[in-house]
Amino acid sequence: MISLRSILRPSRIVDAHCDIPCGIYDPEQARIEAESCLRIIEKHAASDDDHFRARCIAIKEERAELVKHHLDVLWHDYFKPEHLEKYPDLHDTFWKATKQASKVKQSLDAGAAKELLFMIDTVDEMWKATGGLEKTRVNGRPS
Amino acid sequence: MSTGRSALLLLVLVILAVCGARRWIDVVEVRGQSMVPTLQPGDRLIVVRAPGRVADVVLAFDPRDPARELIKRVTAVDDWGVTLRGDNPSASTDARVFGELPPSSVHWRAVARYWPPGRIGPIVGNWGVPLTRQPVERSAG
Repeated sequence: MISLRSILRPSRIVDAHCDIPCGIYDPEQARIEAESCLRIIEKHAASDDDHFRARCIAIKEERAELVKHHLDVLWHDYFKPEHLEKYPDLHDTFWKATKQASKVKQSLDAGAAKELLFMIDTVDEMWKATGGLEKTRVNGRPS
Repeated sequence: MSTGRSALLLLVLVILAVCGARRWIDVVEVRGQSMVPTLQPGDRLIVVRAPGRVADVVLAFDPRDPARELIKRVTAVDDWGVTLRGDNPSASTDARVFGELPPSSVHWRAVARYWPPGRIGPIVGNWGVPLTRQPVERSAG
């Protein structure tokens, strides 16, 4: 007797294949850029050289933009719907973190940059808890 | 989804059941993103043994790894062979990488999706719409 279930069971998988996606994701990328922002803000405050201070602002805005980019990539490429079930506040976390990156881009407030690092660490915990370290790095993070 | 389409699909499934052997009609599951939005990962399709025509979604063996069966759209058929492209060009490895395939390597044609239930229906995508994509450039000689 042929059951409906056996008729509907696919005989094989066919590939809508793409070679490209590298599958390498790590919140560390965003963190390094955010650390740059914090350090640059400190250097800006310690300097009285107008030219240097102007460069600090330009570089800090560039780095803050990279934080947003790396967070965005993690958000829409690494995290999947099943992760959202485990972390219902995932979208809110990313939204707030990218907003915080905008705040760091706009200001020279070291406190805002520290808050951003804290938020990236929250994302990092989610990434680790969903197996990111094992699944998305080659041989894990360098120690 | 119209009653007519459901009835047609049911008919196909009955034929599938009667045939049993799956030599001329079969069901497969899609993996990967290269045919988005026409096909999503996890979609289950009815395929029939037939050569690919322009605009058909077809199955073909990957010329670089024959153990892998690809699902792509035929965008051109000419004397050199069959050109396959993904509907999602930014996430597709296709004729742009491996060139045209001999017509014999295209062996199944996707005709309908039966899973998930919300998207039951024939495989259309840009079916019937004039294709703007051109066959890949081939080097002289």
